[in-house]
Amino acid sequence: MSEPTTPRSRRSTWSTLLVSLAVCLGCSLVVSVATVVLRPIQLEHRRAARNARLADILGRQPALKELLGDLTTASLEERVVDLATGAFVTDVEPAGFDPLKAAAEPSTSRAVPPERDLARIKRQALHGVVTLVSRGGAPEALIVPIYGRGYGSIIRGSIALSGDGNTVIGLLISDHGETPGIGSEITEEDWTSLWPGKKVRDESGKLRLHVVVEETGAPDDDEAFHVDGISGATRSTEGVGHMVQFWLGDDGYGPFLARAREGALR
Amino acid sequence: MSRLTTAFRRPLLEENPVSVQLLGICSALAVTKSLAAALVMGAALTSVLVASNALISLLRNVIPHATRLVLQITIIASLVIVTDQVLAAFAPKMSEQLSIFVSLIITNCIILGRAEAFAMTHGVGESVADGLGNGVGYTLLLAAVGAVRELLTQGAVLGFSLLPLTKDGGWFEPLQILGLPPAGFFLIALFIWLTRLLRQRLVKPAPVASGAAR
Repeated sequence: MSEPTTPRSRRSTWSTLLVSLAVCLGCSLVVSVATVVLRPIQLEHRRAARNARLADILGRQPALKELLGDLTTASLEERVVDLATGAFVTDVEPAGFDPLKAAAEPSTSRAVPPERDLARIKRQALHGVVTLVSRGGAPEALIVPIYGRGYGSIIRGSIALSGDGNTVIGLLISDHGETPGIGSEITEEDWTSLWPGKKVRDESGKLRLHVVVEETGAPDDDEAFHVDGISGATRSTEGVGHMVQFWLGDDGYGPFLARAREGALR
Repeated sequence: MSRLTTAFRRPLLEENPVSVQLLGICSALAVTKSLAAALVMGAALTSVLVASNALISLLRNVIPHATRLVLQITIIASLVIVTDQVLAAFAPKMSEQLSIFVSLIITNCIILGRAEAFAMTHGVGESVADGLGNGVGYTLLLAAVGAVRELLTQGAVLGFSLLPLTKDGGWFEPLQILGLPPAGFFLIALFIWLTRLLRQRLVKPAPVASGAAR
């Protein structure tokens, strides 16, 4: 309150230095402690923000969320896969990759031989984007995008597989133009709920997962490998079955899934 | 006790740091696009101001005259860094929205101003009251500007829709200009005028040049 300027300005150089140093040390201590203590929380937020962005991309596929649990606690990583070798590539940006666009471009696509073109897409991109879901450690799930022709439209969706790529966690149809009320049944839970738990390949490595429709005749004896089609929506359900077979097969993500089965993603 | 209440109440209107002393205008322009941002910014500044006033008042007899400004800034900067880190940890969205303006509190003239003009010559209690008053005064003005800008650009305040927008089938066409930086100037000018009107009525013998400090 008083006027202490005179004595204060007459302080010795040493005491000025000492006090200044003490204040600086105190301040740096406070700042360091705050930074170190709060850092883990901030990193947690940054990770959550990154996941939220990816989850937003997967937002077109909301049902996946129910199947995979709370995606905000998992780390989602999008990787571009060279379909022919099944290896990850780093020179293609996953965020902007559009398989349909890439399939239309000669330099980034190849023709599908007609006899193997189960998905009836004629051309396919050389690369694909898979999403790896993990909670620290090896991937718990692989999300593989699929598309192909149904009865009257291109059906797009994703199939989520277990970390070894051999058990279906869920099927999601995100976009289609099938007949409303008939073919559109493929998006209904009554049908998609038949998929979880199904096996993709048997022990010999043969791809056996398929959809059974009337014309296929007697179902495969092992229930683990087939999903019943919907009568009345035969073409649409069969279309989904075929596109799943195509994309999980040798022309699709087969080589990648083989690597997953061998444990190469660990 | 009355000294404490005076120290707290004076900066609310009579000597409002923004609208009367014209301090801290830069941040007031930048973070007043929405009420929530204005409130968080106000809270951040208030906590820094209270803490810096308290610390500097506590050390006022120890701080050497020759290095007092440097030490004041050091203390203020440390407090700002801590505040910034706390915000980033516990309100990451808001921290992202306020981005650099939280760290710029260091350069906010209100804080160094109050440290040098008040805390260096007053006791801890009074300095805390003064810091709180100035912080709340700053927050009040920011909140007022933020509320008006948010209402007229988004038709909502704090996210609650008040004026249904035409794009959602309502009648209100947002005034885009209020979202632009100059709009902050217009509104702050308006509030300066309003504060001075009120001030003239409140303070009977028109006070002299304590306004327009710089």
